Amino acid sequence: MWQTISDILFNILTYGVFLYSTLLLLSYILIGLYSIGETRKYIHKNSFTDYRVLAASVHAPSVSILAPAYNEGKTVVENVKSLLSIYYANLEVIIINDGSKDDSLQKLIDAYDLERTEMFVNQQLATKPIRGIYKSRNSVYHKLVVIDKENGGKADALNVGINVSSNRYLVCIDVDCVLEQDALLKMIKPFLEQTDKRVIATGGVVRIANSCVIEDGKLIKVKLAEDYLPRMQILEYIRAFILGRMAWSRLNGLMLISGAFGAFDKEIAVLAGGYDHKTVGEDMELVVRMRRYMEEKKEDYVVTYIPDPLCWTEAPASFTILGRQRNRWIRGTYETLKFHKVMFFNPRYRLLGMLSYPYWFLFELCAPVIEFSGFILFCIFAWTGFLDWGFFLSFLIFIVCFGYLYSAFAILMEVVTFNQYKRRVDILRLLLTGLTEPFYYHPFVVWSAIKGYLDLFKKKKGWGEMTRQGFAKKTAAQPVPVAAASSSTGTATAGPAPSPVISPDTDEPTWVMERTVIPAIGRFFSFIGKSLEYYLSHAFVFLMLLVLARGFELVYDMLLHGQAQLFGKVIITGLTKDLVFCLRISAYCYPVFALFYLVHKKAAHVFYIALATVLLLVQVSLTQYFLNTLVPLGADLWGYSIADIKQTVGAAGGIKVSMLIVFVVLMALALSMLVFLPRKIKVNGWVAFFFLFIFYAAAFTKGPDLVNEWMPGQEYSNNLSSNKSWYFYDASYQHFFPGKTEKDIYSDNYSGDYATSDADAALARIDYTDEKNFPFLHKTDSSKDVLTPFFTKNNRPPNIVIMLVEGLGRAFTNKGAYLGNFTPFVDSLADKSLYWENFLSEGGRTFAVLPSVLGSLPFAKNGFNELGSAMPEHPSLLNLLQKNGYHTSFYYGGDSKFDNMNQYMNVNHINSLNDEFTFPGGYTQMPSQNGFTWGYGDKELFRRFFETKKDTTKPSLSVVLTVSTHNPFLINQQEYYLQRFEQRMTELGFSEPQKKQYRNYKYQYASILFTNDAIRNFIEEYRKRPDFNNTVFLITGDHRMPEIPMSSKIDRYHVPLIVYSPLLKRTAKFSSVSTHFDITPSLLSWLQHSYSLRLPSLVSWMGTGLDTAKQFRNIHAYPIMQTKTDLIDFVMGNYLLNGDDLYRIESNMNLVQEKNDAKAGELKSAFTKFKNRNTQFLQSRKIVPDSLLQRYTSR
Amino acid sequence: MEDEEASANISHRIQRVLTTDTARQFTIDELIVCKKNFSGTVAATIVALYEQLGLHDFSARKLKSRHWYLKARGIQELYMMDQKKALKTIYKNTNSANEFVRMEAQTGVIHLTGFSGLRFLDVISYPLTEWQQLKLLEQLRLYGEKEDISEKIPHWLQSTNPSVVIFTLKLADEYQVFSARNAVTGCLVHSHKEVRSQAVKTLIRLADEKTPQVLLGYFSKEPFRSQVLILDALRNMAGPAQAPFIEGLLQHPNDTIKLKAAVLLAGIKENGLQLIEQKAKEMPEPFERIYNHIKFFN
Repeated sequence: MWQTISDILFNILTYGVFLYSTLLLLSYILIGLYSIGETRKYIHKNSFTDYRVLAASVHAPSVSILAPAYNEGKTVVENVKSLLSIYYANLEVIIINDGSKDDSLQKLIDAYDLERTEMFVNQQLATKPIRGIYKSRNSVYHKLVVIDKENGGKADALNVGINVSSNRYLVCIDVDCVLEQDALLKMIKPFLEQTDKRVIATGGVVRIANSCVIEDGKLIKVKLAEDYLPRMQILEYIRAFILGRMAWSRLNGLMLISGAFGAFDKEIAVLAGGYDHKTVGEDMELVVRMRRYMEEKKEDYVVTYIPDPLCWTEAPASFTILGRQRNRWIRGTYETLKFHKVMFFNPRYRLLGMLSYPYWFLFELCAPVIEFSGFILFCIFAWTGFLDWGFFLSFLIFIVCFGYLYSAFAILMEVVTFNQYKRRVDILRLLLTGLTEPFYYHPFVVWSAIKGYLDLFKKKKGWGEMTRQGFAKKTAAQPVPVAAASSSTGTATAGPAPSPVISPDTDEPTWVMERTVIPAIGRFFSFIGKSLEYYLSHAFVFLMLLVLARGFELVYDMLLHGQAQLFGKVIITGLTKDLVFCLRISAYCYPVFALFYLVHKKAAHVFYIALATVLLLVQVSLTQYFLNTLVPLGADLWGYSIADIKQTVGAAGGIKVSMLIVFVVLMALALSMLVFLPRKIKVNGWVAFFFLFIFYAAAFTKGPDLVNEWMPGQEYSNNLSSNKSWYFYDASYQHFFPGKTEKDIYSDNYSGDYATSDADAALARIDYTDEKNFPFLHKTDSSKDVLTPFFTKNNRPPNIVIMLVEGLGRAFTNKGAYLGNFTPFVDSLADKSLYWENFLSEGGRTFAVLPSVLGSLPFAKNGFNELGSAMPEHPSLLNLLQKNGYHTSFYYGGDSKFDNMNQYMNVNHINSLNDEFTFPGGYTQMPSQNGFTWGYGDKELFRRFFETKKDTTKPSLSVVLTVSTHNPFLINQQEYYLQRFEQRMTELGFSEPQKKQYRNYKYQYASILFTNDAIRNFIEEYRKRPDFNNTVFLITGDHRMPEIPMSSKIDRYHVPLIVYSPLLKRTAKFSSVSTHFDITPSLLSWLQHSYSLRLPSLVSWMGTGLDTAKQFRNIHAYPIMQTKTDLIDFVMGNYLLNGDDLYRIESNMNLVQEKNDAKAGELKSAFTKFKNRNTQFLQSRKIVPDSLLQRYTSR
Repeated sequence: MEDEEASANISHRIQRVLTTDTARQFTIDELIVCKKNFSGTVAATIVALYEQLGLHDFSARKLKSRHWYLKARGIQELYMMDQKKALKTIYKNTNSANEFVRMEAQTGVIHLTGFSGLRFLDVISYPLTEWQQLKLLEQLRLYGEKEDISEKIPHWLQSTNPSVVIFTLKLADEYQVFSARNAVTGCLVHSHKEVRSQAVKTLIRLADEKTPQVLLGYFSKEPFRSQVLILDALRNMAGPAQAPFIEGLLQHPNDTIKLKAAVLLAGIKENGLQLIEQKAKEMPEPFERIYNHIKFFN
């Protein structure tokens, strides 16, 4: 029941948000479209208008400009001057000093020769007490009235202005706004144009003046703001004013007039009650209240809007102040809507109540809350795994693109209409600024709004300190009283002209130490500080690029393989690991960077760019490798020769041109970011030192290692989440500088020779005879013949065919395969055979199969075959049976030089070696990719096998290694087998989502089915031969295919072993664990016992022989080599040791991690023993005495 | 003769350029800007050039367009370029449905023919916006020849179109048509609120010795704005006769009226100031402040 409730809630939530977003976007679109018509009409109208008429006429209505001022001392005099210079007949300029703490009032008194008057004020609106009303003695300034009052806030100040004003219309502005030439005329005109409806208020456009050239209170030149924040706000204002307000004005639904510049009908304003000082959003609140008043009076009215840029003001340039502003705005909106909540969907208020109010409520007031809670929910869902990533990402991309489109449209409207920013590059810069908005600016604004809500709950009211930068920086001396100057020169504007705008300097921080302690130390710290700051700005860009690379990796992985399990955790652990990697690398690289910085700042810059590019290249390449092979690249890179690498890359599909182009483009982008962005990032001194500390904590403590251990929980996801670069660097470091494997005999975990422990009595024992010279030499135990009871004895030794199938893992083979049984024929064959279902290979890659199966050999340094020409002679199935009269042959569809297989065969004096190059014409090769093919597929290989098999009296040993089930899984009859794959999935009863997941690997599964068919054809063909009845077939996999994600650390070795023969007396299935090492010992044991072959009693086998116990158990203790350079797995009894982790093996071959220090210690010491023997063998390069080789093997 | 040749040369070169509408429009705009800044023979030459280049046809074509802004533009160009020939067409548009076309047509007619162009006031049915009224007044002011419209004024004051009445009142105000005083007084009881307000303003301008009494007679009926106007105006007109009424106003609920009344009283009555002083002692709020105000500003 709770499930359904939570389902319902979840659905309501998601669909609710979806509906909200749809409404929001629709309304934006409507607003955009609607504003077009209105703007066009306005522009046409404007071409006829000559405003000068209005200015001079005595019939023009009387206007009072109200400008409240608080602590504007720096600029108030020139602001007032610009207001007084407005050309209008019936004008009054009222400045209200709202109890400023600075010397604003005194400055005004001095500048304009003011005297205190006893003017009577009609207190029609209640306000804080007035301290004095001042007028100028100079008749030039007769328009000016300055009111000094006790501090009460902007609303209160405006109310005082209303009380004092004797004119008909009020124009309320912020005192530091710079007005355009005809601003006032344009604002008043709407009041004169209506005949039947009353215009109660007009709003104007506020434009952003940051970086513009202002002189003498007049706007000289419009420039795009240099700083990021004001520029971002320019874009925001363009959207809001040109699109939003035009549209609302057309509908007569405009609810907000900018507090910075608005005109009102005084009578209505007074009747409505004036400004409300209890709210911080008094401008919006007054308009709403005036509208409501007119609605309630049932009188026709309009609120109009002028889209011309009329008023220029300074926008906040720092996050702190911007945050306070947005905080205040949201509180104001909330308070206004609360006061007038009766209008919500109330038809009595017509458009205001039915459309305007609900819009503001839903999309202005609630939007930040909804966005923020959406973000929180997203995090929760991502972590718990409920999130549908596909839907989420597409939705996110859609919203972001819509935002871009809308911004671009707004910019277009601005260009087409008023075109304030005439340079094309400015328009481009605006567009680019818009790109960053969804990720940087908008979240900040939402967060400020949320903080506003929090403040609301804490009942905080007030304005906070708004500090102004001032339009003119340099005011060299105190401004000469303008009045005095004008009286002497006779002009209205005189006095020192303020110099043009310069943007505020950013001073280099001066360290205290420089001044007090030895200058050198101070300089050193200063140098460290500066270089660190410079370094950090680069490091930050690098981190961004890493995050982008991670994003690319995850998206690409999702596209290729479907959504990985525990995806939310993968993201979080992955990003953390990337961060740690970045910190570590940064720590190591900083000293070098500092050295370059010592030489020249630019040198360091170039060095970092080069370094970062290389690191990124490596990271992306490693990521690509991982996405193709599903295993991260470790030190195994160093184990392959260039030729091998070329072959693998070629076979895997090479490098496609399109990918290369994308790659180059991305690299170019990354490069440009590294070159240009660091300049934009300014780091504070203390922050830099903090990061220094963090770097070295990351580099030298254990913390990051702990982070790297933090895994999502599933094998593949764990790999996905790791940082590929770090994995590679760490593994390479371990490879070149391996830690010593010590035997600490005083350690608590030391248990000595494993055989002495009680629990290990169950394990098979090996009697080493000459450990000093031949560490692996031991006696065979002839009683260890387990196979004889299963076979009928023939009169001559049987033929043996050993089929090593590439990648044949138990994960998808035969009954009980957890991925499903994709080898129906092999399965049916297993039922008629001796079948080991829990069999292990001895290597994670093909390099290990021949030495392990045929020679039961230790691994030497990088696998036995890697010894190459230094490969010692050794006893093996091949040469021992050859000495006993067998004809030995090897069949491989590819190039046998790969992994030195041909060399191995030559050392064993193989009679016939068949590979790709010995195939004559008439055989079809596997489909090629980029001109490269592995060679001949399995069906063709088997065909060749039968072609060359001569019927002789000699018994034969044939080793066949297949290749079709190897990356890139290209087979002939591809289409047929893809269909067969679909069919098989249906036969296995897969659901559609399962099928979808499996289809990510359809080529792999198709190849498996192909090889299954090839094996079936092989057996059926062989049946037709006369020697079939005297042949034993062994089928096993060389390892489990890695290109389908593994489920555990032992999965990669889990393969089947099938021993099939007409000679079998009975069939059996064995659940006990054996490995490739055990095949040769048991085969030879059987042949010796049944057919009296001459075989040595001292052997060097790693294996003790196949275990024919039916129930699950493991009596062996073997190492397993994961890759040519990684030897970290050791299996002993029911435990697997992987690195430092201990796992218990369950009967279905699942692993359960266990913390059992005693047991782990046992395995570690056994492992160490093997490694020591191995090292010893490497030094001597002899595995058995020469005499043994002379007697028993062919030479 | 030289002028003719020169102008023929010029027009040849420009004719080659003036093949597109954009070029023509640009040229007209430039010509208009020039014309605004010049007068006399220079202006006449500009007009001649305009006609020579055939641009008047282009402007006239605009009048046939269905877009309002093109029509209005065309009208504006024609009257700015003194195209008296187009007067009839322009006149037809003075009562056009579109307000901008209307506005331009009306302005144009005045521009071209001055006061006699005000004939359209007889017939227009659409209202004149205040803005338009300002424009027309300005246009009349600019027109060189002044005409006597005083006979028309009483006729227009009877118009059924309230905005026409208001405009006429403004005309009377502007041109100090004292003969119309009685008709203006009659407008004090007009049904339309705005007419009454304007009538007050105009009457103040055309005041004679009887006016203060008339104004105060209607005082209580007027809206606040007009009351303030009246009281301000009375400072120059009123005499002791009005004192009792003004004194009564000291009880008015609105403080501004009290103030204005007090100021007025101090001016017209003998011991007006002492009266106020006394009032200030009786009722300090607001009379003390009022008293200080009067003391300061006198």
